[in-house]
Amino acid sequence: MSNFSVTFRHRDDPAGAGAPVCVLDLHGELDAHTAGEFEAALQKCLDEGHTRLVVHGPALDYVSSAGLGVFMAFLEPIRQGGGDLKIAALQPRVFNVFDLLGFPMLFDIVETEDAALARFGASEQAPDDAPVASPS
Amino acid sequence: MTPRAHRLRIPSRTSCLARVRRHVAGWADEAGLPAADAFALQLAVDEVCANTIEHAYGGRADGRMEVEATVKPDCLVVSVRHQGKPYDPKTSPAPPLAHVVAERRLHGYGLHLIQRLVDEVRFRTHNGSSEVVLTKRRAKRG
Repeated sequence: MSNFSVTFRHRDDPAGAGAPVCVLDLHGELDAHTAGEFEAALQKCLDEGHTRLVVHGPALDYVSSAGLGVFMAFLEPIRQGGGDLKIAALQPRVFNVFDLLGFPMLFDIVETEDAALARFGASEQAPDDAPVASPS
Repeated sequence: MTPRAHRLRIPSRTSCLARVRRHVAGWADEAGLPAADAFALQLAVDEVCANTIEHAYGGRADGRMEVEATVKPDCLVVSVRHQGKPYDPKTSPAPPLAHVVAERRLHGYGLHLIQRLVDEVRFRTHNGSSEVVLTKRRAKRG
């Protein structure tokens, strides 16, 4: 039985200028066994034409490199489609895993879902000046 | 403290990784590791097991792995033993992140993580078995 799930929501662009943002709520443990479910969820977004995505992670309890690999695999296709994949509200110990592999250099990782939505108004894909979350 | 040992035998299936992590958490608790160190060790052992399934057994589900823990006074040692194709985590350095983005895959980074998460990684072979041994030291008090 899988201990991981993804649910989808849609939020309006706070700037009112772009397409709605698809929010993926991750629950449980993302590892080599469950990475395929996350991959399928992101592929579903792309297939439906959604490229403005926020991964919302307060209920994500665990991530291994297999899960991080899925983020990496979809980053370029999403950006080539004109959108971005932003990451919000990770638990500190989960954020640390992203940080160990240098993900804050590649992704907008912010502390709240609303901050991630606001980043779509500011910039679609510029992590360099993003307020990177650094939970202690 | 007399060293105490624990052993878990599992098939080479990714569905068993969560079970491995639960056991490592219990052993770390017994060893008195702080929560952050326990989480780091869980992740490192998970990465070793996932790599064993992928690289040593080529994704086959009929292999076997033995995860063994020894609780010592100053550290917790966890080994993952298998009879698949030998591989040494330390001989597979992670590629630059820019290459990873271009190739859209993260292979090699599990090994990179392992080395960042524990104090020592050793690899050895014996009588057809290969073993990756991880050591997480207990922080000194005071």
